[in-house]
Amino acid sequence: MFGAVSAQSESRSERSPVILAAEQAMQQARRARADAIVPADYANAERALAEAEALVLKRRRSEADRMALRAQRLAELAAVNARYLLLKDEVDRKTTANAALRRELLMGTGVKP
Amino acid sequence: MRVAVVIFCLLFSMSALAQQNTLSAFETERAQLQLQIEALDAEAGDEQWADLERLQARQAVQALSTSKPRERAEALALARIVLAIADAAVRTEQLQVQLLALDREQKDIRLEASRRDAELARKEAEQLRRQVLAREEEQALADELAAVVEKQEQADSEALSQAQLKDAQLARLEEEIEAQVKQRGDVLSVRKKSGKSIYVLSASAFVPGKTGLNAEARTSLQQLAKRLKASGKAWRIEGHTDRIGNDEADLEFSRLRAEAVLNALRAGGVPGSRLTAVGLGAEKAVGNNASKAGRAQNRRIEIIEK
Repeated sequence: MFGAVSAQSESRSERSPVILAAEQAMQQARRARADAIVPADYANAERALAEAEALVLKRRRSEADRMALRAQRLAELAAVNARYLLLKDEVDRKTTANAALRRELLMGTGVKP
Repeated sequence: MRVAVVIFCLLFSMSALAQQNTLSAFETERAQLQLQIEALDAEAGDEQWADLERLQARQAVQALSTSKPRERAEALALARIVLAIADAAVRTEQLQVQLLALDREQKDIRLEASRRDAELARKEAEQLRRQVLAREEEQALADELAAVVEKQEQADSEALSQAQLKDAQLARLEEEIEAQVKQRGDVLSVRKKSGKSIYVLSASAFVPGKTGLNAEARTSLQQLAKRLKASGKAWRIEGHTDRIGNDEADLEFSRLRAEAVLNALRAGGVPGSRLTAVGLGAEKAVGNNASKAGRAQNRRIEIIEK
């Protein structure tokens, strides 16, 4: 038990730059609301980060770094996919709005806003 | 022993074959990823969309070729992820461009609508202006026509009135001539009414159809003037006509004849202050206007003692 606590505290105090980069990427993904918009992508990243942290506890540092790098990339992918979907939604909304506006204003089939 | 050697050789061959297959699959996938990154670069073109992400993807794919066999699976997975990031980043930038275009489109639509509204308003104003002009022209035409008609009616009415007057004058003239022939020598008569003298001068005292007295009447009136002057009384001279012409003309005609008599009496010495002359037209008929004889009686001057 003491061994596990010691390993955990070690993992917190001696986090590798790769793990830190992965955690930052996760934060950015959350800021992009990836956890709500693309939950599967976000979960993949989260799983990879958890795996990397588990490897750190097992002192398999090189594997942990590789997994952390993968977690970082997956988080970046989740963030960019979330941004893409948000923008796509906005583009669809504006396309519809423009079509309606065109009908209302240029074809005279509605009340002007 | 021989069997063992054969089995070893067989296993070795199978392992080599498996390695060969794995290598071939890896190379195939690497080539595919390379093609994908090239396609993505081509799509981004000169726009420099997601250039950092595409650079990272290219580096990840290039790194595959130098990766060690035991790291290949991990490198391949990482390259796939990085390529997916680059792809999503390019699509996101495309969407951003599209979004800007949509904003511009919305502005254009509103601008176009404003232009169209302005054009519609201009056309409506123009149409209204034309309608007003047309109405004004119609009104002007109608006014002009009404003025012409009114003028024509007035001219017709005047012509008719003149013709009627002329007819009346002619009729009166004829009758006066005829009466003068019959009543020659009987120009002035006298009668009494309520004890007062009334001298009656017949129409034969006048030049037929005129307001001037004839010579005979002047002589008679000179004698009458002496009598009137001697009486020291005031006299009212009333002019009367028959009812042939119109009322206004008759009034005027009778007034002029009464004034002619007044002038003759004044010339005969009667002070003007004792004489008044009025024209009464056909108001006080003494004979029937339906007959020539009656009308001849009505055409007269009465000199009435006041």
